[in-house]
Amino acid sequence: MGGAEDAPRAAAANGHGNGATVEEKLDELRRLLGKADGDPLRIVGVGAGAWGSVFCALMQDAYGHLRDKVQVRIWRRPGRAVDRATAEHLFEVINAREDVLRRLIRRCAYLKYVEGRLGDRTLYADEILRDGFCLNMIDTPLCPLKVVTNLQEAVWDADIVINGLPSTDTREVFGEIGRYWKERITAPIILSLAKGIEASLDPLPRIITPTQMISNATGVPLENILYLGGPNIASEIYNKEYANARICGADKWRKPLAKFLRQPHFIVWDNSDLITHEVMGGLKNVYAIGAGMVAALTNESATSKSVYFALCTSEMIYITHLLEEEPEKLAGPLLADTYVTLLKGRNAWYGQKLAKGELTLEMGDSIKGKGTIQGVSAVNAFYELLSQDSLSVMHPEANRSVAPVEMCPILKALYKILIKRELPPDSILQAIRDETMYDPRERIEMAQGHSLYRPSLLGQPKGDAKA
Amino acid sequence: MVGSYAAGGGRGAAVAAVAEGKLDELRRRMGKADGDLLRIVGVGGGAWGSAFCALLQDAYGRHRDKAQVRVWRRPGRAVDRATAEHLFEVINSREDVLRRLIRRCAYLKYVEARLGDRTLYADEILRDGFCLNMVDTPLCPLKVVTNLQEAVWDADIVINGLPSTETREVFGEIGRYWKERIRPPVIISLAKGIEASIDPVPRIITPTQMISNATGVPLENILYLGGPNIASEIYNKEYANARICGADKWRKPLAKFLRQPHFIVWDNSDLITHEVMGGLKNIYAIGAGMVAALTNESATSKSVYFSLCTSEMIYITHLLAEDPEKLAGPLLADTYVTLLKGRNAWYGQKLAKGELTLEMGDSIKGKGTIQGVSAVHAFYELLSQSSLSVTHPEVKKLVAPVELCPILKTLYKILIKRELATDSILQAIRDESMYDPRERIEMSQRQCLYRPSLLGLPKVDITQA
Repeated sequence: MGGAEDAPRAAAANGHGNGATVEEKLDELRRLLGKADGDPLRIVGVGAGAWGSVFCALMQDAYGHLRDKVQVRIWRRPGRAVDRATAEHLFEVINAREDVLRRLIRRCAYLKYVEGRLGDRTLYADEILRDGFCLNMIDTPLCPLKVVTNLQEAVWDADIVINGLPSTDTREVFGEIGRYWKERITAPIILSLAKGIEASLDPLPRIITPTQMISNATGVPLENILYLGGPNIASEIYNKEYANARICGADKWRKPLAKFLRQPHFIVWDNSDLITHEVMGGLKNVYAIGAGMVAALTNESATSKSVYFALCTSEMIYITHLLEEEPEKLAGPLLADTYVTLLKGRNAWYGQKLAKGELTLEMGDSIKGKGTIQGVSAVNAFYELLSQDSLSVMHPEANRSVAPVEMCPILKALYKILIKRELPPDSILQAIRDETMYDPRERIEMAQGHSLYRPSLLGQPKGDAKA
Repeated sequence: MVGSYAAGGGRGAAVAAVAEGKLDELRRRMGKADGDLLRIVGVGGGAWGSAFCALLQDAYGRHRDKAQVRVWRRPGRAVDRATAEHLFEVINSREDVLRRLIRRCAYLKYVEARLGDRTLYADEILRDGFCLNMVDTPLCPLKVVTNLQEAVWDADIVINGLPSTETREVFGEIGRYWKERIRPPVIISLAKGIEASIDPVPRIITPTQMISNATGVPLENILYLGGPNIASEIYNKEYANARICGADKWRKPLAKFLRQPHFIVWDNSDLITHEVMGGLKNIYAIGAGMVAALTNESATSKSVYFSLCTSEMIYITHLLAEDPEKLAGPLLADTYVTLLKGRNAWYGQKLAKGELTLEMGDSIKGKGTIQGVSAVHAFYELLSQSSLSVTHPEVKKLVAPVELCPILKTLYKILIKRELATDSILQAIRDESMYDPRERIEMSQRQCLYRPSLLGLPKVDITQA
């Protein structure tokens, strides 16, 4: 506990040491955005899942003390009740952390948690978030946040919007935001953390990414919309585990934002390849579910995990070659993100729970305490897309045209387990143990040797038509 | 248990028929006459070598008139009291093993050793299926020969299960026994370490090259088997992929022969990339173990490390091979499992926790040789030669390639020069001024980094300088 007491002072010291640099970075971004003195830079998080909340908390921790220059706020829907068991657990977390307990007492915000613990009061997700507790990440208290539950009030004057919504909510919420922004003169910058994708089949099979949804819904040009990809263990990032992330998008804002977001324990690199990273971010969640299943079914066998890893990465490589003419190699940072997503993370966790029978598919893909399991909808999207005959490719052995999904046995197995529900989770082992399966290297060579690229898959039509 | 016996019997018969077909095919290809056994000899009794021979014994051993599997290991290695006690517990907790030993009148020596009344030796326990480096995973009984000449003189297929650091010496001796042989045997090497030679030009010496130089067997008869190295999992029928690399003549027949329902063997002509990468990944596995221990298994820190070390590995492969196989698919899987679990990663964890020290050396009781340590030394020496200089992407001047491999440099200073503590590995991955690992990858693909001399095959094998 003595150590805990020292920690805040150390943080303050670090803050002071970095104060000049931090303020300079903020001033630089304000200049680029044309903010006049006295006009705060308004950073708004939309959606309060784990990563969205952590991201805003990082911004608040880094810049929040410069009150006349920046304001960080976060929108989430009102009305989400905290159940009794969670309230009891939250009370334990608070009482176990002296720094948190002291803070709540000082802000006269403690007693409602006692009442919640006793069942005498219902707490709501937005009120606990004001004290720094994200419902999806109760064990990791954040700094206090300014929480707004009215969407229009939250975003109408935002300079930078952080999309922390699941991709399945992105279209709807940004559709509403688009209505509030109709009269705006300057387009805001939007940074999307969403990793899911959708498939549209009409008029042509193609993928719709969250950044495309946002641009279509709000009219904000794509050059102002960026994707931030990277490891998704939000609690570890907030606890200052060293992490790399990558901001992808057009040149105009990419580098200034990378610099602004970068912190000693959170390195942000920039990349112009928005599409590969955003789509791969969704694709790896597909295979993370399977990785969790394999881990659970084989009692964490490293050997089986390695077989799964070889097969799923070769499928991922194959799919990226369908989507991109010259995709970034699945190596380095993209690989690291894949590695951590398969090792730990919500989607892998979900796969484990399904395989152990502790969760069932009927419970849906939004899990209390975890948030949305994006991999499930992504399985459906990629499967639907890649099973279209109009995209047929040459099968290397049978020498006939087949839909691309025929070259992706793991994706097919996951579809049958998670979507059609005609196979149990242990079918994933059968998929990786098929002795007749050809060498995954052949799939990789095929991806690199032939022209697999299908431009229409990521084309950007005028109107966003959903099947 | 009753059901299991019956089912086992049925399946066994079917499997045996398939196995006999594969065995007959290989015998034909090797020109074995009826009554002349196909002799498969494992050299070295480490975990993977022993497990590999046990797999072959399980698969083909019943065909006594067609194949014989035997293992050579050095005599005289005593089993210490603590290990003997543990071994006794393993035996008594496994009914099938206990029954087998009783039936073969081989049980009581373990009781005596447990009581401290007798010293057991590694070769005698291996005859009962206990590998000293893998005591928790009993294997099938094996024919163990402790005289090297007797073991290998008439071998048709030799499995090199030695650490690379012993390969030269042992195969040098084997070469003397084989001087009069008419037909060269086929050799499959499992060794993952490499050496660096600096004189006359910097280059890598791989185990298969050592074997060829030492024995005179042509390289077309020497193959490398790479793949996941969790020997106990493979023997316990966890599904695994491996890859046999080498010349066309024997590659596919052997892949077919070695393949089993739970052990898939694919073939690849790129012997060099796979053999060298097999050694390279052990280097980074040690660092991965350190990171895991120092960050309390942080997945986020592991991912940062993984990103950086794979980009270094890609860079190094582009120096070694003109058109190297991409680090994806099977090579990646092998890297993944080596970093996740395995002897080298385990060693890195123990060092970081202070449970092992460098002074204890790189041969650990119960684990065997940690090949990554000598590989760090070899690769560092090789890549620090000025004659291999490359252009640094930022300062635009010529530097030795090792300057672009910060993790390798750090591991060298920790493990070889011993001037840094293990937690320096965290500093290496957290260097904020480090450039994006993607730039290193792009550089390796854009520049012509390839240095043919690094894997050249000289007439004479000049000993390490």
